[in-house]
Amino acid sequence: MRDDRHKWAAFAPDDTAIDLGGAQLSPIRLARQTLISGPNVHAQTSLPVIEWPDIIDQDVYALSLRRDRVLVVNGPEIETGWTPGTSQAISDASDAYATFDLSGPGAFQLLQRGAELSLKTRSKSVMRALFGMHVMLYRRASERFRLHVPTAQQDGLMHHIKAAAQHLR
Amino acid sequence: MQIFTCPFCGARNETEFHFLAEAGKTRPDTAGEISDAEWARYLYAQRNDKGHVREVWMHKTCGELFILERDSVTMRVLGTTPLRKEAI
Amino acid sequence: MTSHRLPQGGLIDRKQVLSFTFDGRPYQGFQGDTLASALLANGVRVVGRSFKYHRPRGVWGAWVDEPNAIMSVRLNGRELPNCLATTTYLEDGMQVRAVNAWPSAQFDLKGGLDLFHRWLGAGFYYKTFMWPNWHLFEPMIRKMAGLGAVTADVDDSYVADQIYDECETLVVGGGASGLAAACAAAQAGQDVVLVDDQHALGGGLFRCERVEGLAPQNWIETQRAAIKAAGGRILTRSTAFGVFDHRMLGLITDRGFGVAPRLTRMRVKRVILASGALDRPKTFANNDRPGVMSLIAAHEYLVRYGVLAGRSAVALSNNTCGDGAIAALQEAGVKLETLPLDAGPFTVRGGKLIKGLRAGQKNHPADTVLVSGGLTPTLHLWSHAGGKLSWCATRHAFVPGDGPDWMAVVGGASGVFDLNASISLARAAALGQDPEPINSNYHITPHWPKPGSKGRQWIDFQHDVTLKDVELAARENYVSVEHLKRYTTLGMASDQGKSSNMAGLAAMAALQNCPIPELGTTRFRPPFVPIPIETYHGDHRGAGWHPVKRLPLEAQHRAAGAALCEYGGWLRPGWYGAGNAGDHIQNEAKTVRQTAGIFDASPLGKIEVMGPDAESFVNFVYYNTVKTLKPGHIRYGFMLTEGGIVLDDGVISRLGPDHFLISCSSSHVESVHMHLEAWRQDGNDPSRIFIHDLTQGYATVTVTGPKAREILQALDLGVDLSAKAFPHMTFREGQFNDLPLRIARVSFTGELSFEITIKASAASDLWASVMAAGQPLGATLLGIEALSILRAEKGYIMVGKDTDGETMPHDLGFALPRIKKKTPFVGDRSLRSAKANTQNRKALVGLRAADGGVLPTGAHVVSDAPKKKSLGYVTSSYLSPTLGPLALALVENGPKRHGESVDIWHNAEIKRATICAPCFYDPQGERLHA
Repeated sequence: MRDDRHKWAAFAPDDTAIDLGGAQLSPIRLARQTLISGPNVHAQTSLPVIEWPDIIDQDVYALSLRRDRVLVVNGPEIETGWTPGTSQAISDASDAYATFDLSGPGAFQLLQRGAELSLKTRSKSVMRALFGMHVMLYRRASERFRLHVPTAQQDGLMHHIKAAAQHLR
Repeated sequence: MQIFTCPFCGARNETEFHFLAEAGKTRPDTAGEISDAEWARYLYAQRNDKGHVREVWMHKTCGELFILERDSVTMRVLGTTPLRKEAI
Repeated sequence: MTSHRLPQGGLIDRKQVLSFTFDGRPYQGFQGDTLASALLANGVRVVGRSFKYHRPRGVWGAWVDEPNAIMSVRLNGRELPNCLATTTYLEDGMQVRAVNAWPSAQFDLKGGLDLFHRWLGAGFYYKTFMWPNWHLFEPMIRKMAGLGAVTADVDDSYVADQIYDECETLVVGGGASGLAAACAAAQAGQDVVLVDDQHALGGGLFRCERVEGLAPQNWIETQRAAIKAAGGRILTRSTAFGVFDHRMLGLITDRGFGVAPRLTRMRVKRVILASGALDRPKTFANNDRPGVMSLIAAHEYLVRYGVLAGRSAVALSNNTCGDGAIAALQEAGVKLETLPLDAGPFTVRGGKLIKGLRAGQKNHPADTVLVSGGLTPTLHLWSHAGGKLSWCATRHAFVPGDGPDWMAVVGGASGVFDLNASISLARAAALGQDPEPINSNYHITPHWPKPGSKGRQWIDFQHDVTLKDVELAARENYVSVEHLKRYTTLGMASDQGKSSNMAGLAAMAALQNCPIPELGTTRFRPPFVPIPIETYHGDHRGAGWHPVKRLPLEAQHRAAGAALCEYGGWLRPGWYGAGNAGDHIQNEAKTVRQTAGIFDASPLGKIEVMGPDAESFVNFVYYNTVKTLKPGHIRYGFMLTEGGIVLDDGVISRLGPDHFLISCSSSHVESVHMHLEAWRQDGNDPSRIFIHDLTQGYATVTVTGPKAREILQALDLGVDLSAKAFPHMTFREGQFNDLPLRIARVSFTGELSFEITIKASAASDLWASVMAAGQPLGATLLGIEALSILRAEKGYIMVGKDTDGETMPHDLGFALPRIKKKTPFVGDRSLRSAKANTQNRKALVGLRAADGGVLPTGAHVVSDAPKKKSLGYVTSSYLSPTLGPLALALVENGPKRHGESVDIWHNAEIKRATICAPCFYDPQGERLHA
């Protein structure tokens, strides 16, 4: 097998924001991410359930992922596993997704380089393929987008975002 | 690039979708006797229709399995319905 | 050489003088010039050589319809081949060379090829180079043909921008109709994007005197300002090059020479096509000579660039549009003689410099011959979108027929060549109103190629297709347009028939004695103009091609000197240490057997299946019986396809009555997840089964080897680690720094092993503790290469390496569920097929080479008798530090052949080997269960 240790720059995630010229990419530390699935999970949560292109500026909320799944952001610590009473499957996914905010006047155009996105087309789910990776994408403000990307793929997504930012002029 | 409509998420670019099978086949009950011919039909027989087709697709990002009806000549999408019976 | 530039006029900026060279000679042009206009201004007539005969050629057109002027351009150390001189804007310092010519377009060494034209007609390759073999001649012929050469330099900064966008109304073309339509649509509140491929908006408007009472420039500016004010967007230097599925248009934006273009994937509700019309050549003898130019192009060079195509010219025009150009050129000072169409037959006199035109018996001296064969609407995008073409018998052109209801064609593209009518019809189309009938002032007299007439008459200039070639194709019965195109290569040049299609069609129609529309047309396909491959490529290259997944412990591995390699999409340690990899790998494998190894197994799948139907579901998707698995226990199993083929192997842990954890192979997580999700919703009740993939949320550290227990004991994880309390194939919950973790006793090495799984954010602390506990005991870091040796010693397979597209579980020695499992499972019926029960199935065996060497992976296992044939092949082969060379193989009827000696064939070399059981090490499993 070929030794590629020098081909790939060292993966060293940190909390420093990156200025992309027209947009800024800021790593976000969340207290907790909880994956909850169940036949009635949308109706069961008292939190705001975020779809595309909703704007959520609160700190505790739920993301609509699927017909029967939400991701609760910064929610309370709850017992994981199958909960027969509520018919919910619960997993702690805090470390499964890295989170970033992409903000600035060029943020949306940058995202348009990775996905066919429209603010006019509503979607019940915040799940997206962005630069070929499956991410959660939603809005924190009109020019501020939040991304949850599978942890091991954050470096790949950063690469694509930085490369796309070269064209933001 | 086509636009498919996930019954849950709505209109999305075709790159988010994955073709699984032609619709309309039911898995034979393998607890009972199934002839070679019947099993081979289930595994391999494809209609490959020209024009109106019914297919099972997955919306990869949200995992939804659904029936996509489309025209294989004009590429027009004719309708999408969830595969599950009691869909909301 | 005198200047052909007028003292004023045109859209160029005369204050900005640009220097460039063409075939080594220095010239000057102005900002706003194209390469072609700058060359014409400098009096350069020979700008290229034709594809086959290397005939000298001049500029024909003024924009995308140019077949001849193709250049290799160098600027700032960057060279791009095949730039169309008529659409490439001049920049200071450009070094320009004609392609397909050496040393220059003016003096081309291969120019002599033209002498042999008699033997080089259509189809001569097929007829001449048949014997003994085309492939003998192909390299030489390919070398002789062709356009510009690509430089060998890799240019990492030439990266296209790719973006998705959307709009309601896309207007293609910024001429009179396009501007009027875009303006009307934007003012009606539509979200409008106008694209135009030139630097300056206006299309053919500069050839007009007044537009709605204004000078063209002023009218264009009022329209532009109105579009902007109404919120419309305007993209110049952008070409709509194709229409794709579901109303997506590809736009390519030129960002300057040497800068990769931008690709915009524009999703639209509606298109207004205002792409104008192109002038046609006329077919007569030597009509390809440099200096034979489109009349309308000559008019364009005058109004856009202030360039006179010639000083004295003869003009042939069969239409009112060409007539208008004649008048304008005369007014600008061209000494111009117009000949009637019936004065022919026509022959151009002269070679690289035209002497004049012979009409019948009479010579008409001139330095330039300007011709207009009538207008052809540019309907490429209409055709891409599925629109039909319909023949107009008065305009002698194809105009839009039936087509998509979301595309409206206006202006010249719709066959409306009158300015005022174009503008009012375009406005009506923008607002969705029905067009009013118009009275056209455009008149054309048909003047098509005459088969049988004398002289070499060019139809396709670039590809050197003459009227005689079309006649030959007809004689040999290649009469349909598609056959004509492929036999003669007519229309296959880089302009894709923009200049040649109509003449070719008309010639074949005349030969077939049928009207042109009966012959039909070829369908236009994207792209409308040639575009660099890079346009489609963008950042999908290098590190952006397929970014590897990163381990939470990558920094620790790098610090420990790991060689990081790509395994199943992850960047993982292959071995640790610099220098000879083989030594490190052998050492790691040996140390695991003697003491212990520490391995990062984080990419192992961690897919949770939960819900009241979880048990029956997991039992259904696995070959093995899972129903009987008790909480706290682990089982090894296979997932199959419905065809009975092994899809993945892995272990299932039962975390609770309604809760399972599937550890599939590291490289199969996505596919297994998808497989499970598909079965969950198809045929099962998805409200009673839920699947969470948490692979990337957790890290797994494996400690394996005889001293594994000792190492774990030092970590104080709150778990009784004794063999009795914690047997093989069970798991326990523990804690580390107050964080929950799970320890599983499963092994891929054959040694006592503990897999410790913890949240990814705690991985580095756990790793440090395991290292601190392991190093004093002599534990090694273990990379995947050494692990592969250890697992092969045990006969443990890797799905996809030791299995192929025919391998069923019983081929791997797991035969029981096939016989015993009563409940349905995926692939069950296929395991009962005749094919699954034949004796000669390829099954897993071990191999030992007779000479004690390492067998090549992929080598064939060959039978001795009665006839030599392949029985299977080597799937894995290693040098084991403990046991010497060993290999795994899939061999027909393998289990019955243990002890048999066979040939191993690889690249014509044969070795002997003995078949044995696949497990070479600790077959009783004493170390595993220690």
